Amino acid sequence: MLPGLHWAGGLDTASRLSDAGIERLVVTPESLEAWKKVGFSAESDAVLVDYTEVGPPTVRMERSIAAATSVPWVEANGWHFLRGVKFARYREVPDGLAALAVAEAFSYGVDAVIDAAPEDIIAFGEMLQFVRGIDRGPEETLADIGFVDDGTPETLGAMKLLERRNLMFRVVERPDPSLDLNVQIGGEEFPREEAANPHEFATQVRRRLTDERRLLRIFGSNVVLGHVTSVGEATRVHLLNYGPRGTVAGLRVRVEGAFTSARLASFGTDDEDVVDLRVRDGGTEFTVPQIILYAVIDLD
Amino acid sequence: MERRSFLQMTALASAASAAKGQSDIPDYRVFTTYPRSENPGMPGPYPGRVVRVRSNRCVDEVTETVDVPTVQQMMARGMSSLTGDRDPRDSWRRFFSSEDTVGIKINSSGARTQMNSRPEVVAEICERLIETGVKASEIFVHERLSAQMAEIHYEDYVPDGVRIESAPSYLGFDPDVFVDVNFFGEDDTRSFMLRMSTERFTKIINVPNMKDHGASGVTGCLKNVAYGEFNNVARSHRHTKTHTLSYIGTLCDVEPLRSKTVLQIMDGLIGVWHGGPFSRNPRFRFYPKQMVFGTDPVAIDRLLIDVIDDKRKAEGAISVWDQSMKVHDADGSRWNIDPDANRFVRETGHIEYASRLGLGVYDLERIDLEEIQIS
Repeated sequence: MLPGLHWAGGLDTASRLSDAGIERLVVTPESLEAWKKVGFSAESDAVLVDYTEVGPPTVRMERSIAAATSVPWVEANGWHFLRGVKFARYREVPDGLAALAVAEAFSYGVDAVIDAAPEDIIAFGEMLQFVRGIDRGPEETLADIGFVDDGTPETLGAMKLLERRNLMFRVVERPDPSLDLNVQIGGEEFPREEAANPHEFATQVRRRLTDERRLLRIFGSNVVLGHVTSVGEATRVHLLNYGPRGTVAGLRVRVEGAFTSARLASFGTDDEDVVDLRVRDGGTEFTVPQIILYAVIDLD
Repeated sequence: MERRSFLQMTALASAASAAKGQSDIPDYRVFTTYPRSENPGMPGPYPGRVVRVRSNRCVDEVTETVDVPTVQQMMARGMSSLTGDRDPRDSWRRFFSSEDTVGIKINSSGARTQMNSRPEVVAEICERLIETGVKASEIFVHERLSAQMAEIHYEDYVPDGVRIESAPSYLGFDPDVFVDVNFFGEDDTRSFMLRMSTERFTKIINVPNMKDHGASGVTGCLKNVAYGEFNNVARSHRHTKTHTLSYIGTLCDVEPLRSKTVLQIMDGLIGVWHGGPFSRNPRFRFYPKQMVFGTDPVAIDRLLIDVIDDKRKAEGAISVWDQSMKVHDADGSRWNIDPDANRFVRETGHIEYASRLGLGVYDLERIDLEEIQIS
């Protein structure tokens, strides 16, 4: 299901919404029938009690936090979804971020409802239009790290950092020997006190995994986060640009495994091909010419 | 889809040899599709040979106006003395022919302060290349980043047809030529080389300035061509203790940069003795009024150390060799006004390190310096 818009506007906004390509709304119970009558797929906002609240996807330029590594602090929600959140409410998404919220939720296959600013309706609709064009089947998250989630603050902090560092993990109940690395905070390998510093902890995880064995690497941006899924026989790379400075003028991607073809869909561009595809040292590398907000690359 | 055969070469052997006894040299992995040359451009046919041409008339200290006829004379004398030819046209022909596509690697990191490769100097180089037979359209004045270069407006000075180019996107970098190294835990561990330099240019002329540099001690030939031809290089000096000591030489050693960089023309008309390379403080500007010619970047940079250090001594400032953090200024606010402040641990030793990679002659005893004064 594509993300829906949580909307408090009156019926007089209906044509604006439909012009923007928005079909799914979450509205007050009182206005529900009226919205349905004018052709929208509307739900009552009473359903939101079943949705987990998440924050807007963005980058915080808080020097006290970011300066330690000179890397911007990306606020992404993938870790929520990897923990099993299937229904998400993006609460109070500021103007300019709705399209990214749509893309993020779509990329993780989450049923999302988004509180978008009225000024953001067109961008919201444009992203919906883009993701409608992407083949969507069951996608399985690919990872090289198994993360045992015990729900403690250290664990949550660590997962956020792993996501920010593009360290591909999936949540497991117990260590999974089929994965390259398993992380269980509190064990001998990853003492809980080490996890108190998430930056250092993520560095330790990366060191033990080694860059050579990483499923995904991104060169050229520290505000583009990616994750990898399998779609049937294909491997799909989702790239999300959280940066506040707009388009990333190209970046280089490395995915573990040998692939001979790549199809690109990149929001806001006509780009259909990645550039400079190379297979080397057990991985496939390519350049994505530009990323405005969201790009999907299917590898075969 | 194009798939080129991929040759992974590594400079680990030479780097390891250069790093003997130094445990803090990072693990550099060099990837390139270009083989090593038996006769690389650096140090080139004149290892250890440096020609320095001075003239009091080359630049006006008050207006910073460049005297073009004097620059032309300096260029002619410098080139002919370097090669030993009577006619400077023969000197240029030793390096370039009508078959060449030539990249002129300028320095624009002081664009707003006149502290860059002066456009009059660059224009003169273009004129001499054209005289040698190189087509104007095959001359590329270039820099990695466009913004600073655009402020200088080289297009107003160089002959018609000469191209002014940079790499505005990632597509401007060669995916097969890069150095992979993790300095401080950064996730982006690669520095890719400019694609125009690997794929289009047959030769590169390096035109650095004479500058102090907070991290690398000084910046001349080696740093200009290394950090100017590769991306993602500032990560080497994000902390007080930097990796400029080894990274500059390591990048210069990568093929095809090492082979294609055949001529060094240091523009020392105006210099920066502290706060470089970007310093906008006029107090730290000085006027060496010289141009330096050679093919050996190490030998030229070795002499540059003394130019900057002598000036610092004359100003009563600490030496470029002073690595102390007695007056350490992490955010740069004091460093910009106080020549006794160090922002980083200065790595002036990067030049000697490069010599150990075979990039040139460091020992002053072995440097053959010819001094020419133009009245």
